[in-house]
Amino acid sequence: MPATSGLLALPIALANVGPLWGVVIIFCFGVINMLTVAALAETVVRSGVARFGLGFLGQLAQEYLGTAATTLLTLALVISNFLVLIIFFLGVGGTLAGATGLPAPIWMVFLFAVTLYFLSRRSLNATVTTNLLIVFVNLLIVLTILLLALPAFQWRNLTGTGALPPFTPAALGSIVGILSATFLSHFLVATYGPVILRATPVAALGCVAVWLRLRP
Amino acid sequence: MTIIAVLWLLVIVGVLSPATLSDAKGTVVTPLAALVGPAVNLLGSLLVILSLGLATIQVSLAQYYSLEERLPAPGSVSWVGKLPPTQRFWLCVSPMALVLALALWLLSSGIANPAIKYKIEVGSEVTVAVASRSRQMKQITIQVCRWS
Repeated sequence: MPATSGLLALPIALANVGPLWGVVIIFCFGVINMLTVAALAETVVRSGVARFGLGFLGQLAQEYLGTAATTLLTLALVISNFLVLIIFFLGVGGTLAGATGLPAPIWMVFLFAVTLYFLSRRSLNATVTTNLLIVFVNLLIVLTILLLALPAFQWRNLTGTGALPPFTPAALGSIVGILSATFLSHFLVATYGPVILRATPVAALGCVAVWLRLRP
Repeated sequence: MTIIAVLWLLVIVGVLSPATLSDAKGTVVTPLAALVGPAVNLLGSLLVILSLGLATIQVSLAQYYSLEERLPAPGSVSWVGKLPPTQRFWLCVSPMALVLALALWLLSSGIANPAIKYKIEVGSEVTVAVASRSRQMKQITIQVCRWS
């Protein structure tokens, strides 16, 4: 999921609840995320199928929860990924078209070709390296934007709770949606776990480290 | 990630007023660029491209593995099991081709990117938001007149 780009929408989603509640909600999602990722990491380590790359989340669910669970999980994952990928293609194509002036379909086909290249490699090692590089650049960009914005910082914006728009149930949908997209990418543990666990003997720590490093 | 998200929230909320945030659509890049400068637009676009590009590859890998593990094992008696590795690979990435085709269709049909058109009558008034030199968002009203 687009974790770093989710940050760009985070302040808008949390505008209705104010900064204090915003921080509390972020911490709640952070804690839930860390606990569930650690649990999934332990599961991956204890499952031979997942640890040695012989299967993905579906077979992991099959091993622990049975046929019904694995069918449900695979269906949910495939449908979710399918819809999300359409949004990603349109998002990347549209953004690059706006930045370069070239038509969006060209960029979408280019992204498709790049994705096919990574899929055809079969080895995830190159993907891990690329991921680490991009995550590092993304963090640098986030910090640079923060530094550029700091001179315009005003305390009264942060403390002036009287100007907050009224909270509506519709805002809750945005908050849960954006924070879920920002924090919950558990499938990465199953994707990259088999690669990283060979290098990191301490299972849960290794997988949590993978997840922390590889978030887009 | 949690610390970065909290830091990001506090700084952005401190920079943009609650009214600006509640009026913003999509991301904070545009109102932030109006206050801080065009560099934010460039960095924000780069962040979206890198982040979504990487996420596309990661989600595609998940899609590929989800399908691959559900197919009959290579060498099994079914027709899928007898497929050579290359054809098996193309079968697993076929949903990706469908994703691309759907995305292209959504784009070409205008569903994904509907054009926003405004019909403004001569003599009417239009209110727009602008950033002043003191970095405050202000609303100004313009009266539309005929070009002569």
